[in-house]
Amino acid sequence: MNKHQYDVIVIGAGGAGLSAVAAIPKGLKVAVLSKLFPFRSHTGAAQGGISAALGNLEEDNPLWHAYDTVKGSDYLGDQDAIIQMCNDAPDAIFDLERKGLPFSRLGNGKISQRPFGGHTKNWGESPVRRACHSADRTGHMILHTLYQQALRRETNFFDEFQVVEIITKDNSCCGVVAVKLSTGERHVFHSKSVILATGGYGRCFKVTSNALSLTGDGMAICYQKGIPLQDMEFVQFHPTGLHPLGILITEGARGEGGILVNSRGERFMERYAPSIKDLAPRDIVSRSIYEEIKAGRGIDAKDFVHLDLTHLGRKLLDEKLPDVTGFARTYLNIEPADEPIPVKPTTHYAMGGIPTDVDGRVIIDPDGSIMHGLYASGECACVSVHGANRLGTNSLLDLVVFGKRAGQHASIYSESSKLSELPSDAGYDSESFLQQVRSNTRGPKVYEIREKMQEIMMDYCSVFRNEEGMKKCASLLSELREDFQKVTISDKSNFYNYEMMAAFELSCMLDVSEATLHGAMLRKESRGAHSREDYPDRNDQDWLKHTLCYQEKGNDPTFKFKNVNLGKFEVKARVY
Amino acid sequence: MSILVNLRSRQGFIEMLRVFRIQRFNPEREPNQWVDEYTLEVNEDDKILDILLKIRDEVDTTLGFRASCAHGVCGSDGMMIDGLNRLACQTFVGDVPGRKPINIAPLKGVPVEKDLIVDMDPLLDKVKSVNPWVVAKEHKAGERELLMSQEDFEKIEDMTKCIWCSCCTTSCPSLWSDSDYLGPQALVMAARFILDTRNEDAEKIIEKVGGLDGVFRCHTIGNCTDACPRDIDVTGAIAAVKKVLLQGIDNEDKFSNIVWEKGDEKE
Amino acid sequence: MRYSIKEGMLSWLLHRLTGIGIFIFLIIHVMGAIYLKIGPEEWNHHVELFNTPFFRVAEVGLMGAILWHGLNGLRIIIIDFSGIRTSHFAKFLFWIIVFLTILLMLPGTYILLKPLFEGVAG
Repeated sequence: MNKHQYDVIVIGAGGAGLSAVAAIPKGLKVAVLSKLFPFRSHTGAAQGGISAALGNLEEDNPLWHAYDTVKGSDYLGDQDAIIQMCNDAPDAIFDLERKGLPFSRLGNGKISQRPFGGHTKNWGESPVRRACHSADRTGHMILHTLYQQALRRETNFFDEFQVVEIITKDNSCCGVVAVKLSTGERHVFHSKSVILATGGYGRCFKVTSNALSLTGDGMAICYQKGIPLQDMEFVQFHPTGLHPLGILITEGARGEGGILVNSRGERFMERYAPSIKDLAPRDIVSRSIYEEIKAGRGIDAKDFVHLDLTHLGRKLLDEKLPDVTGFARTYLNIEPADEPIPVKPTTHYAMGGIPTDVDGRVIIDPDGSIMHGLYASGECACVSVHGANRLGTNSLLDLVVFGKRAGQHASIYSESSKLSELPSDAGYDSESFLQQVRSNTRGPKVYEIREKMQEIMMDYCSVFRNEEGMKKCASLLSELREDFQKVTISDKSNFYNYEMMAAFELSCMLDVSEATLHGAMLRKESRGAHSREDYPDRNDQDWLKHTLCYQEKGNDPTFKFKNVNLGKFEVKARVY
Repeated sequence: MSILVNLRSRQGFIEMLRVFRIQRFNPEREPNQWVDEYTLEVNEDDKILDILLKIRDEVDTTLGFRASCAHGVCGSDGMMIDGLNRLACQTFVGDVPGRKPINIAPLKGVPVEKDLIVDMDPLLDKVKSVNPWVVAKEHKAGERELLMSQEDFEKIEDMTKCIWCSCCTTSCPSLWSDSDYLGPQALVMAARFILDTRNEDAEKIIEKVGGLDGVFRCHTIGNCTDACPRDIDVTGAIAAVKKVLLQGIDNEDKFSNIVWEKGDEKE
Repeated sequence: MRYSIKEGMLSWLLHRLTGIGIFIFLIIHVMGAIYLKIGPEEWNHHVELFNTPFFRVAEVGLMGAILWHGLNGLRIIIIDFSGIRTSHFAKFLFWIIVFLTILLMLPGTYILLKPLFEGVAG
């Protein structure tokens, strides 16, 4: 087994991981592990923009931004963290700009901004232009800019290393075990601190805008070590995924003036959110689309509606939304300037994840006890700034702001602490798992279990949920988990063994699916993205609290509850 | 080796049978490359990537290729399909007209590691060697963004779309014959950072691309532009670098990096 | 498995081949000048060679090579310095110079090959 020693290990080289790297002083030894090449990370697929109250076009205020985020989260977001994020936002944007991010500009040379779902001025009065963007490839620019700056700093990258286990000892984290994909060798990375930035788990669902690589690895390896997962029942469905593939069409398309229409050609969002219409938050728009479909007003009575951009004109589409018009042309052979685009909700973002404080430190119980040396940021973390529903553009902001804070705090921690000794059983769990998968003969193949899991999660645990369906889903899921014990792979080599990697990823997806499903069964109310047909109303009395989900090996997970940090903004009904 | 695969059709009907000829390589199994043929029931609008995933899932799990986002923004699955470099996730069965076999091979001009996986290191080293980053004035507390005109942004916008898939570099005959040549991808990055008005280190990049293995190895063939899945005018970007080397930087910076302090909002 | 040859690669291949061809001709041409040293008889005999049918046809090839090489050189300069988006423009220019090369070869070919046919007719 190969051993490495570092001060800080960053796992995942997307926006959050690279923001953390940028915040670590040069004197510390840093290694970045990624199962892809860093510039392949899925931050690059984010399109519309990154919000900050710069006020480049009209008056704006970080507190308005915070208010929108709290309201968007259906009041489940922690208000201290949200205010922190919105206050840090303008400087984060300026910092990115100095790092070389090519933002779209205004006539006066300032950064251009555009409206986005749920972002309003004057406490919800009307939409505000707050999303800074670079055409419709903002995420791509953030990812590449941060990677370029990491290259400039001569960071140590370990590309195509799959992290399979974190090493913990007495409530502190002292490294990770990773498998090098090209050789199958196991590497132990011994370090003072570890920052997890591994992204989400959209691939647990059948229709998703997420990359093949987003399988919840980071969350699952923590979950397996007794670290809880917070608010996993909240999974965001983006209203406008390209039908039928689920490829993302940015909310920026509606920000630029696009509208959703049903089979009668009716702009149905006027009925669901009279004041901000198509720019309502994503959970509301996704539900509205499904309501229309249920009422038989889907296009051709099928399960999709139309996103109409035809009135915007070819020039604006080519200038402001070149990529999404490109997707429509490439994948559906549709010219968005002439025809409406068929869209339906697609699995997009996990609001839940590894619980952390505002410095990215991982929390392991409702009292806020810390797992020393372990940090999380980005989609895999739950700070929680997104609560029950994330506003568009806030994910990029989240990973830039909290990635940086995690990097800063991990540096301070690493400077002041010593390498603790590795426990003798380091890497034992993952070793025995991989051995078992390798030695299994005659069992189901990886893809068979994966496809079934994706189907049942989509059918029973997506936009609308109910007790009956989820109970069925739970029993099917535990059957799949049993089947997985016998999963068999035919590739036994160590050389670019993607099948072995797929088996590991599937184990992670089964774990996070379990947490999501049981969280959804537990929460008997409808809040944000979690919508129960049998409990259609929000219940602040019993459920204005975070859930912490703990794994019980061989049993259903157990839950604890954590209070929501309120204070600044009053909890009200959520109408737009 | 030839295999007939019965795939469940996604749309419920089968349009046609097509043969996929995939170039394989596995030094653990055999020292030379070989070709495997798979006959599949497919539809016109099936993505090549989905077919590769299906083969790896259900037929031969040792098939090696990279993939991630599956919709053309990550650049993992660049490969040579029917004689042209492209992304498997953006190429459809119908893009190879007729009923002829669809040839799939790894990118050319770089060492192949396994099947369709190539060694990315030489390609990345080329890009890294041109200093692909902006060195701007440090951001001090209280300062806002550096100003830049929309025209200056549009000058570099095309090149900033690059996803580092390396389809261009590996389609370049100049690179096939001289592996030391920087290649289109590195030169696009050079152009992007030379022309960025905020970059104070552009001169350094110019020095790096002017050498023997630099921009003048480009013979304006244009394979790179045809290969680019992001529709970047690659040859044009390289031409822009040539121009800079001959004429110097022509950056009429409209705002000459005025630092705009906070509090100036109401100017 | 081979990379497909499209307009750009074809023009480059032709550019290389015509370059080599012109280079070989220049060597023959310069070497021929040695006959001037040897004597007038020998020089005349050497020049007669170029009147044979084989060399007349070969000279048509030489003319084509020079025209292609020259025009393609101009094409590359135009692509590099016009600042016009290259993909379609480069292909358009390719077909323009194919046309120009053929057009310009017509009178030259007529002049070069006419004696051959006259010889046959007469």
